[in-house]
Amino acid sequence: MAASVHSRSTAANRQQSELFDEAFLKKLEYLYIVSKKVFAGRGRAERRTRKVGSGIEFADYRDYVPGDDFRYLDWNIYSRMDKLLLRLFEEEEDLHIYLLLDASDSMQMGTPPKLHYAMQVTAALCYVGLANLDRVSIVTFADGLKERLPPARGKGRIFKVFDFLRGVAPGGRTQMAASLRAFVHQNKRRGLAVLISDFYDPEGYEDAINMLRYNRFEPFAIQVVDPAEMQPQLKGDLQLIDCETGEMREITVSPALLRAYIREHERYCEELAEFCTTKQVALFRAETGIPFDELVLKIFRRGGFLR
Amino acid sequence: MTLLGLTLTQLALVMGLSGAAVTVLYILKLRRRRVRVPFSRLWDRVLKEKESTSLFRRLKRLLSLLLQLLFLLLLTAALGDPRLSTEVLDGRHIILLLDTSASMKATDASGGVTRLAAAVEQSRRIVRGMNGADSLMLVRMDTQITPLSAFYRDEKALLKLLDDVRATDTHADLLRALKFCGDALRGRKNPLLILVGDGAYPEHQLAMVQLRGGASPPPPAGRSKSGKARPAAHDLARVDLRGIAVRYVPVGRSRDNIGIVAFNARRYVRNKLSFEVFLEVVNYRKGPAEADLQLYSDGQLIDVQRLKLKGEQTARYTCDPDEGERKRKAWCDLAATGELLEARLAPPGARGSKPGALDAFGLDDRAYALLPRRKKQRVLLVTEGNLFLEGALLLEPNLELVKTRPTAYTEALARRVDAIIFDGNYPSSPVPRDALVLNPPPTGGPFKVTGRIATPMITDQQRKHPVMRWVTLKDVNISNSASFAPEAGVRVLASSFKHPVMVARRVGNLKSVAFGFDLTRSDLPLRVAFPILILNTLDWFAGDSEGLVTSYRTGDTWDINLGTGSQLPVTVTLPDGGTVRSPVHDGRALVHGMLAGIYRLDQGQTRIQLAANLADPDESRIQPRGSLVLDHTTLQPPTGFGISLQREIWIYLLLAAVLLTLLEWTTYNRRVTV
Repeated sequence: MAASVHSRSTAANRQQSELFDEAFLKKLEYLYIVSKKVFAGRGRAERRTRKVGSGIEFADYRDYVPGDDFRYLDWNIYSRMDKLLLRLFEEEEDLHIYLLLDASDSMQMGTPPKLHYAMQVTAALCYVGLANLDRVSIVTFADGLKERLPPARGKGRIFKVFDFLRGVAPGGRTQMAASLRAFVHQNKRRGLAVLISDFYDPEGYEDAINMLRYNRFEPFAIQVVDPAEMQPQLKGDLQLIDCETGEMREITVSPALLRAYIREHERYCEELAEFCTTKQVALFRAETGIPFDELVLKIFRRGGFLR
Repeated sequence: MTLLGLTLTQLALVMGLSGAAVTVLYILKLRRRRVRVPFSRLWDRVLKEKESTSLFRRLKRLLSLLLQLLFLLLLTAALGDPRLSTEVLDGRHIILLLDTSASMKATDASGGVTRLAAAVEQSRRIVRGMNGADSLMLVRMDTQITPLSAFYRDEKALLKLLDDVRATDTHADLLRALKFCGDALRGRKNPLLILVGDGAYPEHQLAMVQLRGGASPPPPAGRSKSGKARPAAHDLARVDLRGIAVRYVPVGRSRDNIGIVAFNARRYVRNKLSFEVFLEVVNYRKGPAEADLQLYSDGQLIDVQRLKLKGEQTARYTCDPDEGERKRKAWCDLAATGELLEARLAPPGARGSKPGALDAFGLDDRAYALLPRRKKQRVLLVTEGNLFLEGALLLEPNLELVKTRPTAYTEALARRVDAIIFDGNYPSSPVPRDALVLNPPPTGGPFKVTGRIATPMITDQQRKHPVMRWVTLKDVNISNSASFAPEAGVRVLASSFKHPVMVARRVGNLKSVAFGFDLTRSDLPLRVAFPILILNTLDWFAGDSEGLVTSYRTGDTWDINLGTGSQLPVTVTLPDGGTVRSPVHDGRALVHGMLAGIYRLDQGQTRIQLAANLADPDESRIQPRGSLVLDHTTLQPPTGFGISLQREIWIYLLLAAVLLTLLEWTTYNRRVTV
């Protein structure tokens, strides 16, 4: 049993390493996650902060007071105006990035499973964050918060991320609002909150996103969609079973009904997009049919999520 | 509407049971395939929209059940074989009289097909155009009238029968056919007779048909001796078709024909190596015609004569001097080794042409005749010596004479010859061959002798017997003669005051002739009649006669003397290669010949060949009639035979059921009715 688990884990490692090959990781190193807001960090990193410190980007002047570092005196002004002014620089600090991964039952549907695809995206974003010395944390949720990867920093922690993702146990109904309420209460440090989910929540996704917004997180939404969900190939007399709630419904799928479902699914996605646009939340649709690297390197960059 | 299949009660039972079964099956819940979906709420939203039309949906499901019930209803109704009541009541009884006589083999119909093919095609149209409850009887007309079916409504069966119709080489007996049709249609509702043919029928037959007039029989044509009215033979032969609608469908369009209407050949009695031919050729065209008349013997061309005939002219080949030298052409004293003679008409200069190359009717461009087999007759003369007799026998070159004394006669010797002449003697043992007995002994001879007559005078002579042909025994002086008993089977050839002195008899295959007097005590040997009498007797024994028919006419029943005495049935091989068996009675077989050509009759080791020809000037006159007038009435083409609705409604019901199934299948698969 242990041997089989070990071999499975080895295979997963190999798969992970295949997904994140050297060239791809190199490309990721040049990217970083764009944050519109400026968050206060603890350690020095590559993020602008409100703090004025020893960065290299000029911020302002202030009068010299004894004890200040002479190196920051602007001697040109002193020679012209005979005033001692101290140059202030924006101090670069680290950023908290929370990757909120939906691990509910619905994420296990699809070929390949949406969760697998979402984990790949999560891992890629993690690597981008780690490479930029941001504090990256992964939180999985379904009907509540589940596993959590404590904030990590530096590229060397990427393997820890892989191990964490490998250990994610999917399952449960989707209750995004409740899960994110718990999240905001547990995480006082604000930062980016990347919500990776299929947004199939019977109670709605609006409260969940608003929860992040109201608690001054900067939410990003990545909607993972399986093409088979958008255009299912169903026909005939069926008994539909909801994979999360177990609800059953007997239907006869006619071409007209199928067309209506496709329209309804599209409308659902449009509603999500419209909501996010209204609330100024960036939303990306990640179709599992699109190659993973294309999503990360092109679509996220084109959408301004990565730079 | 009338049901010809299941009754209404039975149909209701079938419909009730099957409808109940369908409804039960419809109510049964279907086990559905289970499919896991990530977010059933989306489906709920879709279905909620559809909920608004749930009433319509329910109706659609009901429509599906209704479609199936309708399908059942159609099937059940088809079982009832419903017919329109008007059709059942107004169905016609039709006889389709199809001419299959020899003239229908003429290839002048449109498209170069035979008249029969055109007639069959026309008949097919009529059959396909039958409506409602029309019933049709198919009758074939040639020399025999053959009903091919009863009154059928089954179009398919009738069409199948039409496929098998073939023309024969015989003439059409229109009167018999019309009589048959009149009898078959009389008393039936809406009788209709449709004649499909070329109309090439003799005028005298057409004049015998009565279509119009009252119900009373035709007026008497004469009076009997008692003064009572009696119908003439002509009136008895009339065909009464009153009350029957008669229609005519003409086929054919050409009168182009030159034909051999008579062909026969015979060997000369005195010179059997030679033969003469009797032949008649008629040009039925209006204008002149030219043709080669070829004569073949066993397939070898032995003579060709160029014929130039004016319109409607007849050329006759005969050796009869009564015809007049100017009028006749002659094929006399012909010599050939073969036995099968064939006369052919061919285009001028053509050799080996196929029948029909000369005109549209090829059947009468060929004619066949068979010559009697030529062989020497071995005759045993048992005598003490009779120069008169020997002298007479020496006249015949085809005789091979064997002479012996009565004491040297044996049965073994007798079996080696064909005929025996006993001169004043007769053996005690049975004679195995035909025998001529001269002056037989009072007892033990082939005929019973009742006594002797002194100086008999020949007062009666049987001239029709082959032995007595060309013979006159008037004033023959005879010293005395035996008088024979007129027993059963004995033919008296000559008698003296009712006392038979010359008799003949045939027992089985053996023939016997007896002269009751001694030739040497009579002046008969000095008469011209004597050698003829002797040779006639031998010819009769051999089977030759001047009445020998070497070719028969098709359509007749031939009475053929097999000459074997056996009663075994004979196998007849027809000209087309087919065989039939024919019974034999008293050594004679009856064969009805429908085809022209050579027939072969086999009975054990005996084989006889016969030649048959059309030999019918009326049938060779192939000029078709576009319109036929019977009893001063021009026959109209048939009406009411448009190809329209099929008569059986059940076919349409089944068709509707099939269409309904397709509709149901389509709507189900497209989830319209579910």
